[in-house]
Amino acid sequence: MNILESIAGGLSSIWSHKLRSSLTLFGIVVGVASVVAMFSFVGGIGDRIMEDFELLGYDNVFFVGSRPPDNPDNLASLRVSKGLTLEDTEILRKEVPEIEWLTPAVDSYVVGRAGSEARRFSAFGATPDGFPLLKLEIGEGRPLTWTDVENHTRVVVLGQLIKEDLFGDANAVGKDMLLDGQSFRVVGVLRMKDFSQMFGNSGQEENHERVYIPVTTSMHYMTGSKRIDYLAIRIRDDADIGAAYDKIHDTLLQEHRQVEDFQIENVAAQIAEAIQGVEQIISTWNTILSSIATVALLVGGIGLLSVLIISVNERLREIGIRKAVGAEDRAIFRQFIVESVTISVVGGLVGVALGAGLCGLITFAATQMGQDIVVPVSMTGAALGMSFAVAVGFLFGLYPALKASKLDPIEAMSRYA
Amino acid sequence: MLISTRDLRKSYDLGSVEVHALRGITMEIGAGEYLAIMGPSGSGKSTLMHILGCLDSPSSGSYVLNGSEVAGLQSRELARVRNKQIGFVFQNFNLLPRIDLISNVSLPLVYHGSMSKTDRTRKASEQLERLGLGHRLKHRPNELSGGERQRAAIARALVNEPSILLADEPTGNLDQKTGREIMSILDELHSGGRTVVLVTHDANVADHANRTIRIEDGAVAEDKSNGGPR
Repeated sequence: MNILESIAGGLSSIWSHKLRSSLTLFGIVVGVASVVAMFSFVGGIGDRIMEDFELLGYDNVFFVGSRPPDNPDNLASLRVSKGLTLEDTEILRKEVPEIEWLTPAVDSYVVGRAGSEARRFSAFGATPDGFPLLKLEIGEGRPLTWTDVENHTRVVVLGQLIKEDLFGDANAVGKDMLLDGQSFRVVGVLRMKDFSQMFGNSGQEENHERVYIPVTTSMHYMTGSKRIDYLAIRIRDDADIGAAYDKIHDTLLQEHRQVEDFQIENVAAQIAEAIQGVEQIISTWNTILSSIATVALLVGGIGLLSVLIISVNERLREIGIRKAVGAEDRAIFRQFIVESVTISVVGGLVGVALGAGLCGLITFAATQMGQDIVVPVSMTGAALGMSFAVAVGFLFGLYPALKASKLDPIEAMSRYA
Repeated sequence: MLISTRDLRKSYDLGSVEVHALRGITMEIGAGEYLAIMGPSGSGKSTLMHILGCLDSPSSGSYVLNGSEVAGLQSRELARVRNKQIGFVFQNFNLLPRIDLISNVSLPLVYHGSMSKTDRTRKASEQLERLGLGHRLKHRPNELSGGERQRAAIARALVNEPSILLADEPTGNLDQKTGREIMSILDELHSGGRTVVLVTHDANVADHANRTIRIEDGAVAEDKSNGGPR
């Protein structure tokens, strides 16, 4: 008898005892469904949080800002170092290969005016690298270019919220506007990304409530200083953050003639820490949920065990007859273990389907409540649930199957004779 | 000799008492014989039949079937012997109630080895047709008369071409007419060259055989020929 026939036998046995089988299945179905639903729910929330972190764009990012040197009384130190300048940008780009994107930043608060609308906001002086660095997407028009930077052109890229404030639904690209009385040409508008709003729009709104101009333009028209406010740096994904940090620090220190008038804010590490925190919470939850699910499945398994024992006792005569016509112990063992695993696999499949249904329900309910939460069915949860089910079917089938296989044929046949 | 036993003993340890079901049975059965084993209930004839059918093992003694010793075999080898060399017919038919006749009759073939389902079905239906049940292939046992059930059981016993057919009170659950019908099938099988061993307490049934062994108190009390072949 091949394995397919054994499975068919198991299925037909399930079918011929519908009520008993469904009662047994119930425990396993509930166990597996809860594994799938819980893993999906926790996983979905976790993914969403991670996605937000990624959308925020501050992973692998350093900010290098200015600060007074350690001994501000030593005025000489202020003279030997020129502070943060565009030259630092060039040196770092040359000396630190771990850097993927790098932009000098000059932030100035300006009054912007387009037509009759006026707003106060920040004009962020940067280079074209600032856009990929902060993971900003251009919705219309173009980003800043290196030509803009070289020629300190008066062009501006608007954050989406500023554009909506100043221009409403009208097209902004190609229009002129005033920044602190100077005429700027709008060349592009950013597009906001689709956040889960689990943390509000933290970080993202900030990027869209300001405008972007070439850093040189800002220095030339706004601040009139050779100093820049800070450097934003993104490290390559595959680079070692600690090593990159040290290299940036040492390069700048040397460039600033050993005057530590800058400080590096390791946003990357902060984000990494936050991500780790979230991961830890999720893994804690998964452990808790797995334990609950294990208990649920064990309960299901005990149900399976009792039904199988009843089933063996009901079928003593069948077992005796099979043995009398030549079934070896292991054939009987196989028949019952296959039946047990078949029941649990069917239960597992129904459980996965039910779990997937629950995920859909959660998504639906969240949408109804205005939450943009999608709970995708967790493959880990489904795989875990299924393997749990198979393991339960096997483990709890062992004893009844063994019991059946060891029966004495004469004794077994004499039952219900 | 097809079967040769020497000093077969079987005792059951029931805690305080030891029950001796067989107290040394020595006998031979040749190929093609038609033998009836008789005896009152409790005589040990059922135990003997179970040991001859490899459903049970003797406590001591030797049992050579078809040239090989089977007395000391493990349950797995006994299962093989039952499957390939012995066909059983029981008093209460012992068919599986939930499956049709083809599946019932195929059962020994299922445990025989690697025969495909198609071949098993073909062999089983041929055997059922030979026993006049060609119109009942898809029926379940509870849809049949007692005689039909016993014929199906005989078909199952024969489907693996065993060297010996063991029938334990084959007419015990049947009315007289049907019983005669079953006996004439066994007679025919014997005429066709099969070795048939009957266990019965019914002298009329035993009369069909060529030879009768009477068991009393776990030992052979009488071993007589019933005259020439019928």
